[in-house]
Amino acid sequence: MTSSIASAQPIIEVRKLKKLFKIRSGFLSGIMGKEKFVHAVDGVTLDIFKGEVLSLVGESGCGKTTLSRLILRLLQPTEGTITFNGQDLFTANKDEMRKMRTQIQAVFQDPYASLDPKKTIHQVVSEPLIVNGLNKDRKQTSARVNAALASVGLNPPRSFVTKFPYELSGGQRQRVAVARAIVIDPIFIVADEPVSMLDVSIRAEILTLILNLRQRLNLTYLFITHDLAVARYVSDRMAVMYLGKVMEVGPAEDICMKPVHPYTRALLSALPTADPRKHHHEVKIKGEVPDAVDIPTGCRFQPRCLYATEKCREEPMLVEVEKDHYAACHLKNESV
Amino acid sequence: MLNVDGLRVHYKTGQGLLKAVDGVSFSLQKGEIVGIVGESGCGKTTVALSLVRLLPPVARILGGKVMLHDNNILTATEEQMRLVRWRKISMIFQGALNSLNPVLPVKEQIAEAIEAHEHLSEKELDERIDGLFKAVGLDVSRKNNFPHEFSGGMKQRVMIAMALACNPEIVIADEPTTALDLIVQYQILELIRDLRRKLQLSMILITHDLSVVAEICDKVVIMYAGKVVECGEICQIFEKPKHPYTRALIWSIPKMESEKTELHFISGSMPDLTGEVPACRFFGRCPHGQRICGEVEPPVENVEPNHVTSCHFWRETAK
Repeated sequence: MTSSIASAQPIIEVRKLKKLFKIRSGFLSGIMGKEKFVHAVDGVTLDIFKGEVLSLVGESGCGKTTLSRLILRLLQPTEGTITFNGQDLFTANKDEMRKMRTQIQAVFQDPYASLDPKKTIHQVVSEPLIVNGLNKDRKQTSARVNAALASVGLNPPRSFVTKFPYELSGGQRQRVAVARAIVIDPIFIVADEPVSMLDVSIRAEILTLILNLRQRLNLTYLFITHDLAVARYVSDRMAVMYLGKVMEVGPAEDICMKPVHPYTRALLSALPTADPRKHHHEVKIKGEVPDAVDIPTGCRFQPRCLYATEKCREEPMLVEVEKDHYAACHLKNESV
Repeated sequence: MLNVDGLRVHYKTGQGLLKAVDGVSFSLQKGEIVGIVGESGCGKTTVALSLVRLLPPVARILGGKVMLHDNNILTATEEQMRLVRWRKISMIFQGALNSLNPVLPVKEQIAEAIEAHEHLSEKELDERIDGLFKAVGLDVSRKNNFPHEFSGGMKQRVMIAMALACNPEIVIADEPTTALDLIVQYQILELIRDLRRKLQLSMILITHDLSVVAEICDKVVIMYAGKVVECGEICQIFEKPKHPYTRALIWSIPKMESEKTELHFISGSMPDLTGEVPACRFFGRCPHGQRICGEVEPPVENVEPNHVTSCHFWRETAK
């Protein structure tokens, strides 16, 4: 888990990205022009460097999944751009897009829902090859499927290809989902809560697999999780999101050990410690996450922040507080 | 106060009898919080449902005793159970925050729970509900609101209020914080701690998350494939775990406070409980397994006061 693997070359560049979802409102407010929007992603600028695991953490509704869906081009942004290896994802032509599609793959949260129950494991894993027109030679397809299954530790592949998902355990299913993602030799994988549905004893196994594949296949990951301990374990860098914005981003160890933003601090202190003798420290936060429709003005964390001052009526920018460590807070290290 | 002894519950399924709970024993004292921990399918929810006798029709209670004070719950009549449920033992069901009736104000729903068990005047009922709202940290002025007007954390507070509605001695909470965000989870755990202190409440907390157990429980029961593999006081379990499964569970939690360490995992998966199961259920996944483990069921042994485990080799393997 060394950050030395990561280079300084960004593979994904997200710039001022916004995604608003219109919500249905009454007829009157409709004609009065008072449309309401959910600000799911509300101005995110973020780089993902080649070879790194960047984890995106935050509570439900903070926009982490929307951001990942934009990167996968499953959604169109309202504003802003995303480039992949220097190429704009949303203006790419068909050919460029086809190529990019083979380079970006995804692993989803629920291995019980993400695998088609009527397909054999061979059919599941070979699907990316088929939809991308890479299944010219049946023998070669088989070989690639088997190699992918072997890479994720489903050995011998022969005994798995004819099985159906229901015959596999949760951990094995998630391995199949990973095999499906790597069969096409991608360079970038979006993993959206890949272990949160799994039992603790299996979790570590899948995380280890994900890290091993990164090294072996030169992969870059965007790892989405609500679990800070998992994020610390897998990632080189961490980005903390709150209400559609990145509040803090930096090396994972720095974020966990020397958090700057009051929100990150609150999140970390709310984490249960697996140590019965540790007395719980106070979590310094008030209230609940506001609705993403009416985003607080100024710093969006200000209504819940115990340290908020006059300054916080103005929206803070992400600024470097230490090497490679950025936080969007006026207070930075001062009184927090 | 509550004593579970040798509880066995099997389910009739298309594939044969599923030995969901196969000899589970533990006890709960007044004012104590006991955690039942294990992976999905280990039988922890079945244990909880047996305590209030709300098992699905395919379940058969084959043996054991559940003594609440001096009465065996397993042999009580349905009529007697009605007096036990909610007044003596209440339950917060898993995922219950989504089972609130969407078209009824929460106040009515809590009132419903109370009226099913007690006869109170309108005024008494109102006072009781106000008291409950205060106890769980909800704004009394919101009692006429509908469930959709509450956040997840607040809904869980409503569920806790409902469980406390008839002043029970024991509350069973099945995964009460699993669907909640980190900060909300922390707030709910604080609330539980607070209620225990104020009301001398006894609780059984069912969860898959050992770190939640470390936060608020006094004792913990570790279950694996229908059996208790280890049971003891919280510090005993975390500091001197004796069963290889307990150790593996503890080591598989990524730590936040200490240096980053390698994560451990348990390869393989839980045995299918409908078929033949090895004598020690953990045999096959256990790094210390020997022939005897597949043939002879390990006895439940006392490790130290209040600490039992069930492993042939706990003396040799525990560091």
